Amino acid sequence: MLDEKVAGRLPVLGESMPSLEVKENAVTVGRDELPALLRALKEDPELAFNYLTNLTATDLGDRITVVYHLVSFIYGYQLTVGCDIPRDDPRIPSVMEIYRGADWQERETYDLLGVIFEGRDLARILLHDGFEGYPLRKDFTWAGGRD
Amino acid sequence: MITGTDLRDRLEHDIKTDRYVLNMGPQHPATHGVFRVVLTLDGEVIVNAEAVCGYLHRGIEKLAEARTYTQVIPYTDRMDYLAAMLNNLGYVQTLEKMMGVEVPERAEYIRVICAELTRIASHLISVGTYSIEIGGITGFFYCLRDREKILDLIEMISGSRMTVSYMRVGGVSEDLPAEFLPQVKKLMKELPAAFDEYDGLITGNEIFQARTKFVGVLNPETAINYSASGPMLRASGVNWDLRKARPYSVYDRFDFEVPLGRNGDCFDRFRMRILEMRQSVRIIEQALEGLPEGPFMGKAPKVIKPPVGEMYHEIEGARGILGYYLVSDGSPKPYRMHVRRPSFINLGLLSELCRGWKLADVVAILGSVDIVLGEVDC
Repeated sequence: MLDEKVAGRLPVLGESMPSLEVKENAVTVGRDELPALLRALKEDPELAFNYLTNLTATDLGDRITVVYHLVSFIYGYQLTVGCDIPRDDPRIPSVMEIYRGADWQERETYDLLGVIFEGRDLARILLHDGFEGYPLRKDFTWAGGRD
Repeated sequence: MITGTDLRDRLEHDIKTDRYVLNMGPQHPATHGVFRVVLTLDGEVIVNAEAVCGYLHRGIEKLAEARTYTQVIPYTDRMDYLAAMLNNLGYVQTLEKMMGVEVPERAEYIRVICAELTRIASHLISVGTYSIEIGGITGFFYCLRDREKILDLIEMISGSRMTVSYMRVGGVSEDLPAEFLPQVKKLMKELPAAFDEYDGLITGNEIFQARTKFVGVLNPETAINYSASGPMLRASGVNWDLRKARPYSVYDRFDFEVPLGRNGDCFDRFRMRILEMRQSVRIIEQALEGLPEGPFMGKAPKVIKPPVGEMYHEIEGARGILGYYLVSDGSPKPYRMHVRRPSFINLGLLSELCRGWKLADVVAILGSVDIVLGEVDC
């Protein structure tokens, strides 16, 4: 559940962001407005989401959802920001400039799901450079797999 | 004729040094596993340290998708294999949160005891190996001597020293054996004296301090910006321990402190672990005191089928924030599992920490981050 203060403040921050949707326990935003939203959440003195704790993505078949879990160390708030991107055009702006901790997590998400984070150098991090495909995509199969 | 002053002047201004690349690992004792650092050096000074990981990547997140929720528990043991109980705990709590399963009091207390025992065992490895990396071989054996006693206790509970798979959705797999309580109480009496011993042997050692104090300094702003967590974050003076900040299980019932560092250097990061072990002993003693009678397993369905949706849940692991992100499509298998591994994210700071320090400091800095490659690579 969203904290009341966070839920109350979000529409104010999102006035200029038509793609922002406040849901029961998360917010979703379009990829073009994602960096602006995260920057606003981080810099807003009433929310101060200064810590990106987790960044990952899920292949939902028709689209990929990238999720950002934010924490405010000052107020203790938590917030999940989701961003849907098309599966055949998996581009999303990098948020490394806002949260430096996104660096390795973006690389990991690129490595395993093929999400292209734009505006930064991307290299595989867990798999070797010559690996073909993105294993956490649902259509990935491999010899010896259970499916 | 060239005088000494001239020569120094020329060395400083006219003679240019070449950068060179030095490879460290993947087989190197100080990397705690299979991990490689590609160092770019200017003389002895580190210009860049590129971390290369993935040698131990087993694709646990993918494997989980083809297994039932209960079958994933043994896989969590194999991520941070030095603190398997904590990995179990984070995973089952995420499922309990999704399904609204109540955990009986006794199980919560047993979980806290196990979690803190594991935290001590894990920190003992960290403290011991750090000592050996700085050059004090004896310290390592003292730490492992005491860790073995904890592993004996854990084996008594779960049948396994390290890969425990002890926790279940709704509780724990078995009740504590009768011989466990007297032994754990005895050990909790002995441990503070052992910590004093490490302080005398390692912390107080002049060479150890010279090698670690004011080396690899991490300021609080950088630590937060880089998403550092655990002892690494707290050594920089940031008070963020999930057991206090967002208490889970029954941690709100215990009286303990969150140790904080002042300088954010290697020494503080090392020191955090000894101080945290002392607090863990306090928690275990209180949990043993208040351990209620009752069932060790709650009412959980036989087949774990969380409702459609997603859940992200975090606990304070031994190395920092351990988070599980689960997506359910209503089937008995996880649609997607992602684990926020604290060592993986803390390791992202390595280059930042090493830059500008000397080659000899790399091992000191890497050791102070305290990584477990099973977790980094997942």
